[in-house]
Amino acid sequence: MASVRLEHLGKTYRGGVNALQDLTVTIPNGEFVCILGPSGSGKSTALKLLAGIEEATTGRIFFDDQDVTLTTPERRDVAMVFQSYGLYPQMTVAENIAFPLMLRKVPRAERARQVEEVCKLLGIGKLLRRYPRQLSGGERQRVALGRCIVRNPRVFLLDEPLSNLDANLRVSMRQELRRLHEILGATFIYVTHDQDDALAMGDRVLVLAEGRLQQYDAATRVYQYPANRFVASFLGRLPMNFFSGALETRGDLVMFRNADLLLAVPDGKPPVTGTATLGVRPDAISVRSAHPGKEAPVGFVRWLEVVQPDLYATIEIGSHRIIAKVPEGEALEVGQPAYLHFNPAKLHLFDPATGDRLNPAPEEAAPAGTRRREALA
Amino acid sequence: MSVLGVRRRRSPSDLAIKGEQRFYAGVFLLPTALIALGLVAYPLVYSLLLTVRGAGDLPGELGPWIGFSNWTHLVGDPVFRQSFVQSVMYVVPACVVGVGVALAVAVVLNQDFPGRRIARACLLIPWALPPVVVAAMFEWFLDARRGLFGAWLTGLGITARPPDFFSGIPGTLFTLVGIHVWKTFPLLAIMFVVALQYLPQETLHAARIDGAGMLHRFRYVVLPHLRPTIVAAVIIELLITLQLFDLIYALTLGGPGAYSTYNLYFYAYKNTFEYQDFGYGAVLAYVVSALVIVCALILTRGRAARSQLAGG
Repeated sequence: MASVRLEHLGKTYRGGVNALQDLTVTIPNGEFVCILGPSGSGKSTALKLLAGIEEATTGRIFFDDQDVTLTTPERRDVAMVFQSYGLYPQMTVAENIAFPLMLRKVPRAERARQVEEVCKLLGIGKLLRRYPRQLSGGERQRVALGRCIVRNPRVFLLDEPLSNLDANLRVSMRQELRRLHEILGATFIYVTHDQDDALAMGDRVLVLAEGRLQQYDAATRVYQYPANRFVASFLGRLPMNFFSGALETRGDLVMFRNADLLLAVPDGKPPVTGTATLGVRPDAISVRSAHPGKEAPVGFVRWLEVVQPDLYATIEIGSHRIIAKVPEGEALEVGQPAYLHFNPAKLHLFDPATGDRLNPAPEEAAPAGTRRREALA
Repeated sequence: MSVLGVRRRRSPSDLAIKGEQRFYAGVFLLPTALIALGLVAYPLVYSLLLTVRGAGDLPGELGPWIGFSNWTHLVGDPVFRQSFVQSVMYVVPACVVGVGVALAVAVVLNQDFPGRRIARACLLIPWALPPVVVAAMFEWFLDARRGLFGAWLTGLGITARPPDFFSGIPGTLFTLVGIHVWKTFPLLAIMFVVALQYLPQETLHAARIDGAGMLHRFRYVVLPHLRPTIVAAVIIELLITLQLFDLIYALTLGGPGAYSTYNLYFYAYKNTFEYQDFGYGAVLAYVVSALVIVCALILTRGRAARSQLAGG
């Protein structure tokens, strides 16, 4: 088990494609970190560099304080689960799991004991004599995990291991992976393009786009306080609403204003006045058909959409189309006027030029890693 | 049968063709069926009749019934026995060396190096050359007095005098095996190059991360992946080698000595076309065919090999 430190890590492929640029992060020992990004973001490259399958063009990789940048995968002592499992088809489940031990010349009896122990942990004790082709996707996934666990490696690397499973199995495998992580107490680095995977499992989430680090933060904070416009739009089931406008100071308040909206932005610290992009998630806006009794933005309902279990409305105000949540019990009809309420605590301001967040996020309440309970074994 | 009774399982053929349609189907299929029958069944029956009747006086005519003497003749024929043994002496080293060389060459050609495309294209040259050209080429190349190969060997100090590749018994047979392997390995190598393109990359990476070095990766990932291809390559090399004829004809005519480079195929040719014993020639041809079928059946017993052959 080890902490992982990346310093200015970069990878340029032949032909000049910059897959990863200047990635500097520290992953504490025993943490579950998800690397999240769209395809082509460099997340798989990052994992391959960590495994040693690819060589870094720039920067260094440290496990604890040991520089492993030039260590071959054979000697790096990491374990990896692949998207298509990467099992040995001609070997039984038991042989697959025992393979790394065999390479390390562990005596036969000891191998059998460890394989049995791992299979008990994963609940695949009955499959030992089967071949991979006789197993379901979920079972293969467990075997691949078993082959990693039996090694007791310094770092676990997981490359989209759940993406070939159906939805129900995914949910239960997520819990399973969390459980294993708690039992093993090892460092897990999990690559995915699926935000649900990342937010459900990760202690921390590392968001990548176009080879660059966007945000590295606790899972909840990545969603609540996106560091820039990319993270804001990449996370969330429904697209975030964006408005461009100007910031003005009125007394103690900072106001966001454009042709159709005027909103107070309570961020504590007045930012520079000037232009800004306001981002609001659909669930931070509520729509009502009745006049709320005070000044509120008003528009027309264009259409309604059910995103189970909630109802969302698309409201037209001036040139804007805004997706907003319809509170339970509210009866809205298409074409009717609708009044909007913006949750002031959930307004995000971004620099229109760089996309960086303008209003500072509150301090982290609990440091990441406390989610991990005491190791059971 | 009740309404709920079990319905007869429908095969694809009765879905497509019913009643009178069956008649038309037959009419349309008839030409093809006739051609197939004429090309396959007729020679098969005719050659079987040849073995028990022999050829008549006029071309294409069958002789009078002579019983199974052609078949019983096999048992006591020393040349048949020698040809049989020598067929094995051709096939076994050709398969082992041919598949081995092809695999090694394919692994090299699968590496990334400049000029790989050209090297792959050149690979096919031996396979594309006409057998007579190959024979003439090697006759010069291996000639005991003026041959280039002999000059190389003496020049490098490996042998004192250039060896004679076409006078030894059974050495000459193995010279032919060598030339045959040189001519046929490209076909097998192409099969391996294709199979290597489909190496499971994730499994290879997994093996590296599991701690497997190059040899272990070859042993536990590459070789199992190639196994069906190896079986297919052995079958193909076996079939080609059992039917080896042109090199023998062009280079040794069965010699040196009386029969030292005969194989069954060549002996069948000799009987049929030189001794004009069509009946015995047909018997020998049947023996070769039976050998081919038996060997192919034994080698394709594995399911993986069957699917590889069926799927191409």
